[in-house]
Amino acid sequence: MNSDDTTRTVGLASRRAGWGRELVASLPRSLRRTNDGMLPVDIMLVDGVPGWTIAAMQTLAQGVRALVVVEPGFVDPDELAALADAVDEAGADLTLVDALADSAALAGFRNLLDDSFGELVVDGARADCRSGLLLAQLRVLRALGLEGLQLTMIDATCASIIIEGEGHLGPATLRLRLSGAVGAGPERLAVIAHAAAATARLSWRGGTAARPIEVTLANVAGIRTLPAIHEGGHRRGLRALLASTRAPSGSAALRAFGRDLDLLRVLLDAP
Amino acid sequence: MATPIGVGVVGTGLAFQAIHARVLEDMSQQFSLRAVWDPDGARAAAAAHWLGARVATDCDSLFADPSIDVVVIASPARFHAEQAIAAMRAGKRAVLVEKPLCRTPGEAEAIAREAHMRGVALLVGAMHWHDPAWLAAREVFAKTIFTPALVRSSIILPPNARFEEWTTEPLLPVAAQGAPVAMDAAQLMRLCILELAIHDLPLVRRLLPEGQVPRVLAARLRQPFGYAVSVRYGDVLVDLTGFLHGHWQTAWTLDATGPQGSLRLDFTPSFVAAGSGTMVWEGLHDARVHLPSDFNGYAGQWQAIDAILRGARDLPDPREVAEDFRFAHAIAEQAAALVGGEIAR
Repeated sequence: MNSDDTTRTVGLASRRAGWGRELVASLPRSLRRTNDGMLPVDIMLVDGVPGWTIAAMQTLAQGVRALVVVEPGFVDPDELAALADAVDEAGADLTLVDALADSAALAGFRNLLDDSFGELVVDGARADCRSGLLLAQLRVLRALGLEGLQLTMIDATCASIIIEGEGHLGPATLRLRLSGAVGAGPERLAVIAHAAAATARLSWRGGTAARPIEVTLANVAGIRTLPAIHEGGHRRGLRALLASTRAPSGSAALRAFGRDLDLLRVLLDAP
Repeated sequence: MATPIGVGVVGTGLAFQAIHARVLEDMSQQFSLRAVWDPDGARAAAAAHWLGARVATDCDSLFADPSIDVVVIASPARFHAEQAIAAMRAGKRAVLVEKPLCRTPGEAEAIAREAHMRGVALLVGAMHWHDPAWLAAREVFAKTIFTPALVRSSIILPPNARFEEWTTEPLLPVAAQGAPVAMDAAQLMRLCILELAIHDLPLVRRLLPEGQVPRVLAARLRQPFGYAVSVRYGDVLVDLTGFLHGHWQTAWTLDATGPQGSLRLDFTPSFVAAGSGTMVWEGLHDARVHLPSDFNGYAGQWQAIDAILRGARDLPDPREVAEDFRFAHAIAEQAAALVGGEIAR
């Protein structure tokens, strides 16, 4: 086995057999997976399925100081707050990674949005639950850089939502419209940005595969399609961490995630 | 070869010039344009000269022409009810009314009653209803129960003038047809729903459960022209959006997601003969795709009339046609009241 100074050991915290192995194996010079359960490791990848905060707490207790939660889902707010405190207490760093929010396509889409765009429409469908659907949409808004979100649930059924509101993207205020449904069929999410003279679109067909996400900008000059990137968001997010292009932020990302979960709870509890 | 079915046209504006005239020329084996009438005598004369028809002196004389079996009502909507009923009372076998069917549910009821009583084929000019992509979707739902949780109609288009220019040469300068009228927010919303959204509202209604009434929860206008309307229909949310921008791209979609699968339709824009839309159904146990074909819903509606009048197809139920209008009208009125400030939200 060859290794060098930049190789870091990585553990996988998941109940799913084989989870995360391919991701780690795609970065053979940077990451080296330890045998199952062998500690300490430099980085622990935590599967964001229900109960992930517990797995993350255990990891911290075992002395791991860099945690990457992959595709974090809804969790209890008290558990999340306790985890954030524990991260800070341990002087650790916790990063969140999403397939779409960390994709190159979304970053490319964000770069297309100048101040001529006045409205952003996010529409999605997925199989599991409304909260997961809405969380994915909110993660996308955050990854696009939207702040100061003011969202109102127009209506929700047990399997569908329509939300309106606004948010700030730099100095610009964007009107927002989110809609989606839980159902059979493929997971998907589309983002459309409207300007009077241009339309930007992102179309994602779910999953964690490195299937390119289509991003286009149409205006009077024609259409521009961003280059196809065959790299999934999980790998790109992990690479950003390894390359130190993402500065350690302790529990900051986790606490921001918690605030977004609070916002989603308010929305989903709204009559 | 069967004798072509005689057609008369009331209103020779752009909808007739760009859509019906072209299709009727293409289907000259089945249809023969006999007479036209328009309050603008010069335009009527130009249309008649162009297509080899006669100019009727008025609507009644056109309806009284025994060589005419099918009447197209392509006048402004405020005249539709009176003209459609008069045509049916004059013994016409089919009446094709450009959308919207009329102005009020009462008018829709009167039109439908007349059609039902006289056994007249009543159709509304909405090309997506006859689009092969939609027909393919209906085939899926004839075999599969589909109860969507969300239905979305999204119409994103350049301004209409572009498509008109690609399909016809106006018989008279468009400016001569009158300047745009200033509208308030409520009027604009009615226009958005009853002129643009209405294209797909009959399709939306067929995806919804029966026995409910639409309840508009929120509505807003978009600048420079468009709408975003949220509707509750029983346990289903309906997301209606439209936007006319300043560039070239069209994206006209209807999609629905439910526990049995997801449906997506991509349609071609109005006026142009750009072929059919596409349909993708991804169900729990099956998948169906309708690929684009050259056949367009505009031709589809005339083929439907041909089949009905030759006895190869059942009469459409006029009560369903009226119900389609009531559905659209209820949404338009509620949305207009919301943007007009009559209902506080």
